Amino acid sequence: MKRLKIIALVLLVLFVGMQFIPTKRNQIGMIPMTDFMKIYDVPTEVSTILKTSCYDCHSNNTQYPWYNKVQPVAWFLENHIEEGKSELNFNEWENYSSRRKKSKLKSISSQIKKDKMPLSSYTFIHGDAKLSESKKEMVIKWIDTLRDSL
Amino acid sequence: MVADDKGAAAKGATALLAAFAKFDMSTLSGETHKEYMEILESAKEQSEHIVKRSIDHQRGHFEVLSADISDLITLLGTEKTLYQDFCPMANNNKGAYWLSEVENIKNPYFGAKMMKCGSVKKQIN
Repeated sequence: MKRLKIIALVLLVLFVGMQFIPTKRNQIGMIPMTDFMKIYDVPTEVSTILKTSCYDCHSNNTQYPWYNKVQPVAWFLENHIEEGKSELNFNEWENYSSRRKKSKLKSISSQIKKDKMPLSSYTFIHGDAKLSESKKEMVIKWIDTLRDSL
Repeated sequence: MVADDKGAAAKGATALLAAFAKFDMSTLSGETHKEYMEILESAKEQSEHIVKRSIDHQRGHFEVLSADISDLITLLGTEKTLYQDFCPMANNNKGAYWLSEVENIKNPYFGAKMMKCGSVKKQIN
């Protein structure tokens, strides 16, 4: 019993200690002119979905609920954001060549279609980011139409 | 990809990335250089995905890569005889092109499932 208490205490100290290690916050606090939403006339329904389900990891501005500020969740998230942004950054859309815009749109559409995105580890804690079948269909249709028009 | 071999496809993409790195682009000027850079950026991105992902994912990126390489050949030319093939069923029935060194159809998008699906659209050289 005594031993269990000691282990619990050590874990607690570690957990508290972890909280003091700083993490990088992904928040530039403004939306650049190169943002996807500023380039295209995105219908409100679609833009709401993109902002809720994609922008946390695919833009320079993450909305951080309280649990994402707690370690080790924050580290986990930080890595995903790093990787997500290098693949696709909606805030820097206009900096992509038209060739890359098209291939990105293709990937967005197919990732959503195949339920690869948003990541299940993300929707697990982020219920509102989960896409219903009808929402998926709406976004995919809009993205595909945009791609064909480019 | 014709052989449904994810590992071999990944190796091919790695070799392509190495070839891009070795290419001397100092001979290109102005507009040609600009276009080359745009194609290169995309082709590299597609290749990187082919290196690390599943065969399904690889094939999706191969569609884009094939278009990139076709544009690259249009831009810079080639001495090789190549065939531009088209499979109407790939890319969710929207169809997709690929380049081949042989005249016979060997479908990279479906592999053994539909080896012969497609036709030669254009012969280069």
